[in-house]
Amino acid sequence: MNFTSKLKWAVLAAGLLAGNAALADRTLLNVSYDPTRELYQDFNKEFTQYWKGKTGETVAIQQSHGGAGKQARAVIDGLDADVLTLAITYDIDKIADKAKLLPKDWQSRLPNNSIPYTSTIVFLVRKGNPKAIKNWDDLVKEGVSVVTPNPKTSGGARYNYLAAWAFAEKQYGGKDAAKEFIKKLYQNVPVLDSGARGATTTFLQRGIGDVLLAWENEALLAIKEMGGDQVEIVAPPASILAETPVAVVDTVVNKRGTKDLAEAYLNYLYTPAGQKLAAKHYYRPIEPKYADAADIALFPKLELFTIKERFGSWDAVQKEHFDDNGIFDQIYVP
Amino acid sequence: MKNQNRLLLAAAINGLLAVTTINTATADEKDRRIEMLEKRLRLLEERLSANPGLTAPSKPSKPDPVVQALDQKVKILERQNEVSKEIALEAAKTAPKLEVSSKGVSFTSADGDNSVRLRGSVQSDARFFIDDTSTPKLDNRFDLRQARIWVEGRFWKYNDFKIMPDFGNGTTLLADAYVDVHYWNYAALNVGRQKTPLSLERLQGDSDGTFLERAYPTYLASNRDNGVKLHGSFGAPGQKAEYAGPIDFKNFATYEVGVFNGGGDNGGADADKVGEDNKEVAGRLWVHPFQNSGIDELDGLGVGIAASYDLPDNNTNQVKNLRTALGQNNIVDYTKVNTGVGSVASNGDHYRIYPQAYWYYGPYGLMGEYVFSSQKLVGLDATSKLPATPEIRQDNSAWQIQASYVLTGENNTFQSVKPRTAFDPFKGRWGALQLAGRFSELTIDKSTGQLLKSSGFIHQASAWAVGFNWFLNNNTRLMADYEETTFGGGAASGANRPDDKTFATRLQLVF
Repeated sequence: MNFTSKLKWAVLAAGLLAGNAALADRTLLNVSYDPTRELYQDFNKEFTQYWKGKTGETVAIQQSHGGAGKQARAVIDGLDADVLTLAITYDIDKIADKAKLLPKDWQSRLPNNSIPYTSTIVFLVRKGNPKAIKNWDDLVKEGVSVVTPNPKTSGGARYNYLAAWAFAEKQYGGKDAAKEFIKKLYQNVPVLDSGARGATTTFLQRGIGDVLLAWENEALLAIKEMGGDQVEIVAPPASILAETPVAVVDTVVNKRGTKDLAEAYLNYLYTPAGQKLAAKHYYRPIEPKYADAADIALFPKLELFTIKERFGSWDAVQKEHFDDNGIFDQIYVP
Repeated sequence: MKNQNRLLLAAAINGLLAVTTINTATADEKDRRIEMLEKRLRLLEERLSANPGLTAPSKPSKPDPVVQALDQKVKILERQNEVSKEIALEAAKTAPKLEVSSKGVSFTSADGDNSVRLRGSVQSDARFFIDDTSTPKLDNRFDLRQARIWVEGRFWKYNDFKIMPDFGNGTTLLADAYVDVHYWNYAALNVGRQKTPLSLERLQGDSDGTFLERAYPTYLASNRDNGVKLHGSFGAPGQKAEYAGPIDFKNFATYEVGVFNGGGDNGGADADKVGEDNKEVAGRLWVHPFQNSGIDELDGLGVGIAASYDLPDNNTNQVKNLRTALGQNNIVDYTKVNTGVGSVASNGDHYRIYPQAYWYYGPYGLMGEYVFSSQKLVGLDATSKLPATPEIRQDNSAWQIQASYVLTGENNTFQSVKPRTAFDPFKGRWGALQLAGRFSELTIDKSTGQLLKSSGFIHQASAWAVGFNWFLNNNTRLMADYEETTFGGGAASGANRPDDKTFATRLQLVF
């Protein structure tokens, strides 16, 4: 399909979506992070059908995607999100703290601390793994070019950084060694994109780098879309568990009269249908029993650790590593 | 030998690449360098393919590592350039703008919804009285007529403010201090200290006037006053109005109506009497009937009418002296009371009516207005402060007509003249020159003689004036005016006060 045809289809699809929204009784805005586009496109279709069947109401779900931090700032600055489906809990905490749009205990309102699915960080390498990258310490070797986005703007990049840090701290003992390791790693990063999708473009479309530190779901999607003949996934022995939270934005739903719809929308993520869909889009469902076995089989086996286990809390991580003059600012010289 | 050539070539290109990766390179420089590198890469590939000896590797299937490395470096530079542009674009969306220009210093948020602007003005005058036969003689003098520094701005797109103190004229006062809330162009609310919507010339910008001093009609209006004003603007039929501030001379039609403390003729903001609840109601309608009609000659015609009503109660604060225009000397002096009168108070209904108009077309300008101001005055006993004389109805009036012409051809407007080129003697540029003439007359009710001595008030002042303005640039103007005023009354025993001939200059800078 050439570009003109794609454009025609895109215009047609946009028209249909707009028409759909215009016909809907109510609309819901889901503000999410970069790589969840495809998941929520499918999920929204299923949910609207489910809701129509249950209540008879026609609803339209709108999506907004971007770097997780940037999306959180947009909500704080006035973007009326009914629901948030972001990459890290810290970003929703910020919305609760600064804009007071939802209570501070928002995580307790849905099962599993409001985390319906998870992911992790893996390596996406060129076919045949020419640089023989198998573990985190391979990333700091001379001549290895690593692609990862900027952790100050991307939630995924923060997981990349923290996974590498946790490895180094355990492997070499202590913060100083970890800091030196991270410094070396970022010396091997030729381009610092602002979001995960940008980094994927850098690696796949622009052909830059030997390894992309990627969301597991992004890596599996890349294999699916590009075929297995150009890139392959390498799972390190251990990586970080990316707990991606969801929340209803109380102030907005109360104002717009969408509370029941927003709650049903997020609860649907926990249903067998929602869990199955998450796995289909390469997110690890919290209830794997509801997913297709073939989808679950795609997830590599690796040791997973959480932010809480290794770093205490996102708040502490943010202050120490990613705030202005934090460790990242100290070690990264563009 | 062939291997040597190959190594030399690779080394040379690597050296070039090292130079091109300097981080301080701008986006444009990067573009140029990428182009150069691609050209050199193509050249290298062509040379390698043209030379079988160079292109025949020991293992034909393995890509040349030198070419691969160069290819990566070019791709990285290209991507870095893309990312830099994305970041710059994103930063531009949220970065506030600092602007230093001839309009002052301003800070504006990226979305333009919030801004703060620092402004200022200085007017330095010199006044000379020619053939002065008055007793005592009038003082030739230098005046600092205006020295203002002010802040104005906008928050949340629709909430404007202005805070403007004035340190000139030998006193310090707060001239303007208001908030203007303007979500709808047809109904905006201005609250605080502001110009009362009456005299056309008073409503003209304080630095925009054609002459150094305003003419007599202005002196029968109050100056600035505390109050609340509803105002709105409307576009010509089929067109939308655009917000143009609380005093709007840009849109097709405007209205202003407000309630103020009440300043009295030539009065100010602090004229309200303690314990008096009566307020002044003032309003004004203004229209440019031919705006965007296609009749260019009449596009700049504006006509309007203003009126006010107040009911002061034995209020001495609302009785202010009146002065000559250019000379700024008292011609109605409410301190020169008759024997048995301690002071003069305004007591009873006070109303004014102000028809007004202007016309601007190309370099030509005309402006005129008339005022009829009627108030009840009473003489108070010096000790008891109770009425000591019968009440009089003082019917005063004034009018003026002024014409101006911009010699250098720029457009003449109510908002001053913008020179096409700024004065620069080194480049043979001279700014803009304007000539103007004015006639103005003030009539004071003769019944005032029941309260004031004959030397305390004139019953008529007629003044003609000529003016010359040199606009050095949008900020700086050199002005020179001559005005001659003849009086009816104003001297002892009912004689006429000697003519007043005043020459004055001003150097003014506004930003």
